[in-house]
Amino acid sequence: MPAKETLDGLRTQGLFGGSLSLGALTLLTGCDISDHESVQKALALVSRWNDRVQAAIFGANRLAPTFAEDEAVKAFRYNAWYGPDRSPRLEDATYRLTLAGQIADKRPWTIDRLHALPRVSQITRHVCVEGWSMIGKWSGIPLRDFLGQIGADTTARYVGFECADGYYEGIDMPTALHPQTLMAFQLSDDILPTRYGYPFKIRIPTKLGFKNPKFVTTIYVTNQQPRGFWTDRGYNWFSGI
Amino acid sequence: MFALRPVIPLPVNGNVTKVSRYLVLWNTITGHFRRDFLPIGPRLFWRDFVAAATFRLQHRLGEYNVVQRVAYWGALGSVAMMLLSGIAIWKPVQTYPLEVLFGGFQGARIVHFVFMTAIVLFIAIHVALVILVPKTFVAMTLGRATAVPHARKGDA
Repeated sequence: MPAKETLDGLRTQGLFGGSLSLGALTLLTGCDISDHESVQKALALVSRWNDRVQAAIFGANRLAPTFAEDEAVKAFRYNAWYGPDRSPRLEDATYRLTLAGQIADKRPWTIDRLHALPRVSQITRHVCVEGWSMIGKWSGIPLRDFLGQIGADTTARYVGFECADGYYEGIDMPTALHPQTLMAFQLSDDILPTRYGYPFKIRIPTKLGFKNPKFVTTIYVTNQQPRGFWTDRGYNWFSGI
Repeated sequence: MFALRPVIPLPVNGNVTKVSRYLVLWNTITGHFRRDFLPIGPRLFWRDFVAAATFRLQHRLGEYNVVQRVAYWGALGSVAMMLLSGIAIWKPVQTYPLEVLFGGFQGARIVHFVFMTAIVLFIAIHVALVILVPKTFVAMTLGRATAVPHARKGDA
C-alpha cells in the first residue's frame, strides 16, 4: 500500500488542495499553511467529526432515489486515476474472490459461482466527489444477502475491500447492510466490462463514487476501520450522500 | 457585513455558526435589523438607486440607503439559501425532501451556484464601495462612526 501522503499530494487533485490554499491565502497572505502538521491534524479531526455526523444521520433503510429505464446512461463515464487501457484484466479461470476476517465460510469464490448468484437491478445516481453525477443501471446481489450467505459477522463494524487495480476501500456495516448496496455484476444489462471493474464492483448509491470499489478480489469483515485509497490522500472516510 | 454595535470579540478558534447565530440574535434584540434595514420598498429602492447611479446619493455614516438595505437583506437571504441548497447537495439521499424542494439534485446545484454568485457579487460591490468611501472602514470594524460622530434617536 502506498505511504500516507500529506495534503501536498492533493494539489494534483486540484479540488481540496486548491480551496485550502485559497483559504490560507486569505488568512495568512504569502504563507502556505497546508504543510504544517498542526493544520493536518486539525483537518483530520474535523474529517473524523464529519464521519460521526454522517453515520448519525444515515438512515439504514432510507433509499436513494431510483429512476426510470430511459434515464439511465448507457455509455457510462469511465473514471480512474489510470487510463482504461491499463485496467486489470481478470481471467475467469484464475480469478478467486478471497474472504477474510470475521466470516464463517471463507472458501474462495469462482466467477461461475458468483455469476450464479440471484440478481436484482437498480437505476440509481452515481455522485462523484469531483462534481459530476450520472444515472446508471446496475444489477447484482445485495451485499447483505451475500454477507448472510458466507456467514459474515454483521455485528462487526466494517466491511473492507481489496482490488486488482491496487485500490482498497472500506465501509461501515450499516451501509454494507443497506438494501441498495450491491455486488454489481452488470452495468446497463451487460456483464460489467473490464474497464468498469470486471468481475464486479461494489455499487453503493448512498455513498460518493470513490467509495464504490471495482475489480474486487477480497472482501473482509473487521472491527478496525479499513483504510481507503483516496481517504489516505485526504478525502473524508465516510463520504455518504 | 454589518456595523456591529457594540464591538463583539470574535473568538479565533470559535464556532462560526454559533457566532453568526449570536449576531443575528443580538441584531434582533437591539432592533438593529428593524431600525437600520427597514423600511424597504420598490419605490424607495428605485429612488436611491437612481440617486446612486447619478452620483447624487449622500453617504452618511451609520445610515443605510435603501439600495444598501435591500443588498443586505439579499445577502442574508443568499446565505440562508446557500445553507439549504448546500445541505441538499451534501446529503441528497439523507435529505431527499430538500432536494425535491429545489427541483432535484441538479436544481439544488443550480440554486447553490446562483446564490454563491450573488454573494460574490455582493462582496465585490461591498469592498469596492468601501474603497470608494474609506471612512466607513473604521466604523464597520469598530462598530462606531468615530470620524464623524452622528447622533440618532435610540442610540445610547
